[in-house]
Amino acid sequence: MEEPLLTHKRATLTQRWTDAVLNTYPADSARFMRRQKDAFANPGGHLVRQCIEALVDALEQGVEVAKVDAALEGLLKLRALQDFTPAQAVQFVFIAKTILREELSLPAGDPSWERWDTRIDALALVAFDVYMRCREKVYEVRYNQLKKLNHVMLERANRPATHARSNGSSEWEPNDRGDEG
Amino acid sequence: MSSDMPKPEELARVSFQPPESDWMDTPVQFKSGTYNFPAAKKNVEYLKMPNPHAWAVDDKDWMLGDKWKEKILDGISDRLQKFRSFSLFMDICVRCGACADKCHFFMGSGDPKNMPVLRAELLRSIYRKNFTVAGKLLGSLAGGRELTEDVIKEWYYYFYQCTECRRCSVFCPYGIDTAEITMIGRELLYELGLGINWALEPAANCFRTGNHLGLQPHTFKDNIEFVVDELETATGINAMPSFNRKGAEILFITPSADVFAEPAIYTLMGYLLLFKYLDLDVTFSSYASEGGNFGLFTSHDTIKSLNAKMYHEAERLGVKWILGGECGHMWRVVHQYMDTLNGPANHLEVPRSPITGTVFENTRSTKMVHICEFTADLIKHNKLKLDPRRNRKVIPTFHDSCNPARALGLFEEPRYILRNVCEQFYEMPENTIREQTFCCAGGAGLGNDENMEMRLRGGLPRGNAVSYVRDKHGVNMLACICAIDKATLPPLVEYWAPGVGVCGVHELLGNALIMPGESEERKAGKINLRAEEDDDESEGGGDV
Repeated sequence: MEEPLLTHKRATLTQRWTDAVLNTYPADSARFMRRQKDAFANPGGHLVRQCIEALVDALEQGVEVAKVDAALEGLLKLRALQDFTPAQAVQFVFIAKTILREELSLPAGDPSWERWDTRIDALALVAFDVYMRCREKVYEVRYNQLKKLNHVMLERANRPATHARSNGSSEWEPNDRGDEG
Repeated sequence: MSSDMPKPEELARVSFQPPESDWMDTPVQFKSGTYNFPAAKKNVEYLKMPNPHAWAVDDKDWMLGDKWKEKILDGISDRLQKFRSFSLFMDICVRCGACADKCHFFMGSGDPKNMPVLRAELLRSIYRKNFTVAGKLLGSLAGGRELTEDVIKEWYYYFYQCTECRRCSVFCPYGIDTAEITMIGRELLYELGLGINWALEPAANCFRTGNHLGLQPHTFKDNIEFVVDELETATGINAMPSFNRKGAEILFITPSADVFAEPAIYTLMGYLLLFKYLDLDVTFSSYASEGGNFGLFTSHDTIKSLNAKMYHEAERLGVKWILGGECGHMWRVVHQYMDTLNGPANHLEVPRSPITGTVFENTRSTKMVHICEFTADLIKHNKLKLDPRRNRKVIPTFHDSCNPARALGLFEEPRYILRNVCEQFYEMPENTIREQTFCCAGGAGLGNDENMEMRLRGGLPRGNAVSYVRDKHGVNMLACICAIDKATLPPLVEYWAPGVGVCGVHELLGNALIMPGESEERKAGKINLRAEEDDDESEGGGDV
């Protein structure tokens, strides 16, 4: 009966893990992110809580990549933009190992450690993927913005125009006048 | 595996917790993507601002010039005497913290110096040290600090990390307007020649040719003719306006982005259809060709000159009053600064709608009416035939653009229009709209490409609210009434709320307006102003 062990510690684990993420921010900022519970007044703190809840679910119930990916994307979309190195951005996933070792009073050689560690490693691997996807998205957004700025002028000059629409589609299309300049 | 390779447990023990250090002792670090490029020397020269020089943010020496400290301190002293508000704002803050977590850049960056109170402290600390007895005697114990080159660099970073949106001021019990502190901070930086290009080049261009891109009058006119052609392709209607027509009743001034940038040009199409529909006696000026007052990001003197330009043109053309387009900072200037800087526009008449007879008493001093007030009044009086079904694929929410919302109090008119031209409309959560609206994070000169990562950080709270209504109600369009929004919200939603488009309110009005002589395709709602064709008769939720 390994699962109830974590269930028993779930609240503590969630709290400590959430705190660990918030503590990666300067203390003055972490205080606000911790205190305000409204998702719209404190979107950063909300994303942290939402993500950690989902990661604790994954530790308990097993890692479903699609679910974990979505949860991590919520938070890493933000951390990928902030003043963190890639390692700093995803490091919070590994913190779970330390917290579990402190909270679960299991002997070092207990076979269940392998299960927890494997799950945390799986979360970390998904986090790497998600982090990179977010960084790539930042550059894509920047690139689309540049194309879009030139769109009307290119079209006016009868050049092959990039039909970047405001809905974010970014495919290249030849000028529909057919006179590619 | 090498013997010095750390074990997993050791790796997990590495602390990434930031060290505790006082904000005064935490130096600024410029990271690519999070700061703005300096103003080109030619633009500083053109605006006749001090110390024009070529420099880069990553240069060690910013070449502040001789006696730079005196210039800053004299600049503070001068402004303390000139602006009572500034003097009050320096003294009155009790650091209660009400504003601290209200800034979109704070929420998105987690950087304490983006708390409005701390951003103001960057300047207040220098004020205390040099202008208060306690600060002179007690220094840092009284919240004062020495003016150094690092302080100047910090100012440059953080005063260009404020979009002057004024959300924080809504929560301040003393009514401190942090935007004005930012404005003064920027003016002081200009004393040393430290402007950003995306603020100063548009301002210089507005001086030179009348609009921020520097389009010459014939090119400005040519651009509108291009939009008119595109509009005719989409609707079958020629809605060519007049230019510089003396004796017209109304002068129409809109942000110049409406004539060349997507999706703003579709908003212009909406205006043009409306004017044609009403046969309005209105003219465009190819000289006063910019609504946006880029002085607001530059200096009080520049605000004054650019605002005066519009009114001089109105006088030259002999119009009765001015109708203004979907713009942001133009409206803050007109509503809150113009009377002080240039005085009431007594040479114009109090605006009266020639269609409904409504007198816009609220514009008695400025003689300038917001297009949303004008259009909402038309709808209220049943003067427009509208077919909301033509917007059936659009499920909009409304982004209150900061300046029309917080500076002009324009909350209901755009919503009234949207509810009349669309079949559905959903609000974002209450604490993200109206006077509490979140900024697009690209205003006040920050909407440039090099600053994109900072913009996306600041875009978190708005994006979070948009994705919420997207998921809850299927919202697929973010309508707004500001040209900067139309330029800066598309990348924001692309990152934070993919699947949502951005449009102007008058674009959707233009879609719904039943025009005499329109094409059969348009009549059937099969083509919109973007010339996107739609043969699908199904309801809502598709691409727009």
